[in-house]
Amino acid sequence: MYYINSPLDQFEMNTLLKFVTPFFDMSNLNITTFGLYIIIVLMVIVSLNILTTNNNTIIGSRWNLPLEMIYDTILNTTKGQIGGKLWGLYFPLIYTLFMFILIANLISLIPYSFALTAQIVFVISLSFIIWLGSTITGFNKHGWLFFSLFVPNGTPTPLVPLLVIIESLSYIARAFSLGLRLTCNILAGHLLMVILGGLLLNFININKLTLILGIIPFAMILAILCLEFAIAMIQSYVFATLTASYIKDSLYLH
Amino acid sequence: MQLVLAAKYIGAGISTIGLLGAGIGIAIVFAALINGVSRNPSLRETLFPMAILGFALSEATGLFCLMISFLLIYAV
Amino acid sequence: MMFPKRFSTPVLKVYWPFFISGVGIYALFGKFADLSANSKEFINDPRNPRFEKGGKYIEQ
Repeated sequence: MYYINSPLDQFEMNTLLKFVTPFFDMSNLNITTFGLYIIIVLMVIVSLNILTTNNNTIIGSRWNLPLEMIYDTILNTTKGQIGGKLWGLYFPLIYTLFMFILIANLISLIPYSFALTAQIVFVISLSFIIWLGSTITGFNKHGWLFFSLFVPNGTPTPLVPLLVIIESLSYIARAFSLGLRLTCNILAGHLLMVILGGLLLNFININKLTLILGIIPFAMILAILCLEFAIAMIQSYVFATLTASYIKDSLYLH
Repeated sequence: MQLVLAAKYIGAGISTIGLLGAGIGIAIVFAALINGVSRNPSLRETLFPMAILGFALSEATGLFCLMISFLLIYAV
Repeated sequence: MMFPKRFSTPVLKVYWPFFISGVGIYALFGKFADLSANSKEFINDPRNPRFEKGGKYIEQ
């Protein structure tokens, strides 16, 4: 019988394929569980698109409808958040982020699979890249005028130093909070499922009466699983929306 | 050493109190959504994404507390 | 047949800040990972990749 010692065991990574090379150190290219699941996500997204295009005929297959609805939702979100003339240039980035996080979250909800977006280092570095990239975009576009982002319109003069400190702190905190929001949601959800599942297993194992009574908590856990599916979709939407709004801040300055 | 261990668990337990604020925040967001939709049902399409965004933002503050307690239990 | 259509989206012209920040963050986080792997807590951890290249136990 297989015991899980800590609920955090499900986030452990193992090396599946190892590069042993004499002269160069190629251990960066090792295929770990993480790499395997990245490849699976890529395969799922590519095969969804291949199924949709229907051998390059004009009319797509039945898969067309859901993919087109996702595309339309993200298009409208980007248009609403960024707006102006430049929103179309940033749409591919936001659609890619949304699709990747959505598929990774949904795959991680298959039992005994691996949660890509619960790896804190990965998601935090992703959000740092987005934050730094949008900051460089703003500096390139506006020069020193970019710092007017830290002073809201119509601030009384004595309040300006205080507000600049608060606004710049909140601007720096965005880099953490964007990634931490996604990864904490997924981490907390998966931990909750493991802990509740372990409790239910202990309860069912007592005797035959509790085996039958266990249906009630089992239904509750099923409801929580449905909530986890909703959270997986909502968090990917929120990540895409907030990325769009950060890019908008550096493109148009308020 | 036992005292440090006990303090660790007590700290992890106390840090979950912050979830109170997140619960109140989520309740306020959805109460405002119900209020707005019941006053003007035609605005439902525009109000719903904003409510979902507000829900996610206020839920994240509670999850930060949860993360602190996990850090205290497993990482300290 | 692999790439049936070419789209004229300006990728490098729009996304160069993100590529630069990607390289920078990769270097920064790699440095942090090395620092933490060589720190006092993890230098003798059995998961440390140092041991696969024939590293020895280090007394602190």
